[in-house]
Amino acid sequence: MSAVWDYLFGSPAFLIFGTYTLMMIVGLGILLHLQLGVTGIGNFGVAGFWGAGLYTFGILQVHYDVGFWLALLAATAAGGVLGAIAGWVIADLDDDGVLAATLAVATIVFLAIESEKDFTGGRVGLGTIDFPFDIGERTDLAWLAILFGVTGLLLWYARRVHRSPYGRLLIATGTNEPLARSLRKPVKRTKVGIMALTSAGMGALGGLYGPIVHFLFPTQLTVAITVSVITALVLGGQQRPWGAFIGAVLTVGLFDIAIKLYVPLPREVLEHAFPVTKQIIFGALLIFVLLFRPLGILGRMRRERHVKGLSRV
Amino acid sequence: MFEASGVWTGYDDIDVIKGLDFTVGEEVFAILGANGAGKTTLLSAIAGLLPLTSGHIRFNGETISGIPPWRIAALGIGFVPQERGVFPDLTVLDNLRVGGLVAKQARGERIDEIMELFPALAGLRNQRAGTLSGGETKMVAAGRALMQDARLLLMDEPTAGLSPLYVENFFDRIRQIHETKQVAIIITEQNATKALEVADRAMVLSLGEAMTIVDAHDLTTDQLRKGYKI
Ligand SMILES: Nc1ncnc2c1ncn2[C@@H]1O[C@H](COP(=O)(O)OP(=O)(O)OP(=O)(O)O)[C@@H](O)[C@H]1O
Ligand SMILES: [Mg+2]
Repeated sequence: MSAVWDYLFGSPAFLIFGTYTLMMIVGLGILLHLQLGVTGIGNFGVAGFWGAGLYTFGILQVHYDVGFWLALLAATAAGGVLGAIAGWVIADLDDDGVLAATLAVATIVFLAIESEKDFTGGRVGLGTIDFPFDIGERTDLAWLAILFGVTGLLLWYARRVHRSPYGRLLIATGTNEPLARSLRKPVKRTKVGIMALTSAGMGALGGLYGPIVHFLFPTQLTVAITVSVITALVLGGQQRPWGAFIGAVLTVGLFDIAIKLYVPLPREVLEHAFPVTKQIIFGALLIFVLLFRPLGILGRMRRERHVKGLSRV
Repeated sequence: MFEASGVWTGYDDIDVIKGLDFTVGEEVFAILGANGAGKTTLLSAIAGLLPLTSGHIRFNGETISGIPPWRIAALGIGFVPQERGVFPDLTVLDNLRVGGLVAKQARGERIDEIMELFPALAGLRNQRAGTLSGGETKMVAAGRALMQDARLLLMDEPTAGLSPLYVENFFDRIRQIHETKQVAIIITEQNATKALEVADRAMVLSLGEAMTIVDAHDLTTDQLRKGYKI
């Protein structure tokens, strides 16, 4: 029994850190789902909104001794403000413009953090950030539970949006913007609103990531995280709230957690061949999905089937 | 209720509509013209989707040229575009409900009215609009615009691509909408004969200029020919 336990959870620190990452990808993926899958905004700057939250949280905690909740609130606000600005900028751009502009936002955030020294520490890093509570060995697990809760909340919210009048407006804007312009709600306000809301969520997730890593480095904010989130979401199903979860389990879950933990690969392979092979497999999977199932594993968004809502108005 | 004066509009440097003056009352007003005459351009400009180069458009005493399209919609002008008139990922029912600021109960009644107007839609309530046939799509598009409390409906070739029997039926519905809901309608058409049967007055548009504006039954074949340049 204990052998099995050791085998499954032999390196709990690794498993926990892997699951943290998984939950981050899922959470960001659910928010990106609301932007991309529902409202049709291709945000290629996820890392920027998330990073704005992460560093706001870190700077306030490290330099100003601001308490956890206030720092988290500020992280959320930072993401939200950045999202509102980005939303305002991209509202009138076409799809390519949106990709370029959001990537530019992320790049600006990255460069600002990297080149600034007094507050962010630049490449040297910023730390340390601790958990807001300490219950000994279980602190990690408790934090993981909190992340699960937050992700669950995001999932619940996304599902609610799908069934709400607000969701209808977002879907309308995403699927036929020219027509949406002659609805009685301004398209620009809709876009700025959803970008502010979801980017605030990304900022909050950034804040929650701070205590996990203890030390912040600009390298944590590269396009890699954006790519992971997009891969997971597109693979799982961009139009579905559960899409990011399915996709993240199949990518990060399978490769970064399961295989690393349970497949006895030689260290050499793990360090060199594995990351490359992984990227190739992800790329191939993406191409396969886009060719044969463009809306991902879960497919098209499900809206009020025949059984439900026949008489409901 | 509706008045366009000295309207010039177009794209970038090209003026498509060149100085139009016309008024529309509580009536069905047909805009006829060949391909490329500028019918779609004119309706888009009225709906606020294209800026005017010069001139004014007034609706119920308010100047609506220069204000954003959502406010024009809120003032009671519903736009049914020539193409892509529905939200494909929403169900038929959600297409009718989207963006409406109507109170819930009123909305229910409104939807029932639209289902009565287009009985074919009743069985399709929960179907994705993107999977509807051409004719069904046109019905949803019209119904959607009506849902927004439209006092004036702009319909851009609502029967293009429909089978003759359908066209007949659709024009009957248009007349019915006008009569039972007191909605004024501006309709553009290529098919002059059909449009003239439902319209009270007609304007023949030729290369962005109004050739004639007359009572629908007074329009002569000659005037039409001249407008269509045939
Ligand atoms: N987006 C655009 N940019 C530039 N020119 C345009 C644009 N849309 C239309 N035009 C031009 O404006 C003119 C009028 O086009 P419009 O679509 O208004 O004609 P129409 O009367 O609606 O024709 P149809 O009956 O074929 O729908 C055409 O010469 C067309 O090429
Ligand atoms: Mg046209």
